[in-house]
Amino acid sequence: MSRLRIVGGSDAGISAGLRATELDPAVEPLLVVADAYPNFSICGIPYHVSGEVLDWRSLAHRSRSDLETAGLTLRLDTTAQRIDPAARTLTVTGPGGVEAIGYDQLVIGTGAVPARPPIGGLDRLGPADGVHVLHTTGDTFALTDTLARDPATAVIVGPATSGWRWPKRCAPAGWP
Amino acid sequence: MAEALRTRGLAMTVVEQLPQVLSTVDADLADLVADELARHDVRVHTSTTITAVDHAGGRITVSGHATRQPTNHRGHRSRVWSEQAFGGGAPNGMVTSTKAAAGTCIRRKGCDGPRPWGRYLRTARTRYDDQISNGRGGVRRGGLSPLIGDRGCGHQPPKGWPDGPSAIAQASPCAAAMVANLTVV
Repeated sequence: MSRLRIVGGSDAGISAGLRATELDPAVEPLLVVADAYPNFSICGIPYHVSGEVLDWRSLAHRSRSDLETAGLTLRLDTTAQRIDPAARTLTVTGPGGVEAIGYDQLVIGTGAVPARPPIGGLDRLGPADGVHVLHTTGDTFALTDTLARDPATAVIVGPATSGWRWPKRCAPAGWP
Repeated sequence: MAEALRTRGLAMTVVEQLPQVLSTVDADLADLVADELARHDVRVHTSTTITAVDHAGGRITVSGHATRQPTNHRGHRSRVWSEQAFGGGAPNGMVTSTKAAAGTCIRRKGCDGPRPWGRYLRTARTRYDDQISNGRGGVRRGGLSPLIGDRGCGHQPPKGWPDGPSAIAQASPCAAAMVANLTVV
């Protein structure tokens, strides 16, 4: 039995775990996931904000039970803290406190940290002030909470990715 | 997100540091997107750099200036991109209409500028691509496309081009714009 440990529960980590079980059913993939939302579609977030995807849970490519049925073990709300290659252990902190997890193979699939643009005030203003960044499912909840207060205006600074949503949306006639 | 929030009925403003929306595509395609944005009453400020966000009196205010042209390795900057205040109205030099952005910055027909950006930047891209194919490139190929899209008439090219991809990236504010993804409500 090979102990495969994976840090990261989005596309890279989930794909690695599922593919490993396909190649070798004896492998034991365990995923360390920093939040409670494994395998969520982050690029689908705008469609939940717009109301087209009503239930945020529908943004999950697979449910938690789907993943567990496929053979993956999930440690949610758990953050990897330290790798000890000599001892082949991964130290994590989660709801159960600090834990050392042994591994035979380790995959790091954490993705990237979004850059914070050099905008004055951004360090002290946050969702409570109505200032948002959008990177995680948690960010989505913060944004929809603000939108529930029914603001009249919004500014988007640097809409690199969101711009790509436009060509797709130009064709349907249902747009206001 | 602009479409999502517009769908919810919010009045939308989009601020883009570069001269066109969708900076990674050719200008004529970005024009179509800009037209569509305008058709849906999304205010677009291109060539505008946000430098501060403030929350006072129940209002959130973002402020900034017209994007500076990238400086060359000697720190020289073109005259046409000098800093502008960004206040209540549209300051001189700040593009507030997507049509204006397309008309003044992109089409070269009738151009009588001293040296069209387009030819100059294509030369820069050739050099840049050469460096990538030589295995010496440190920046992704797409990194220069915003500058390529900036071709047009009357814009003074920088005196000399910074040497090497990292210097090009350093001289360009574009990289920062491409990662900025901030929503202010």
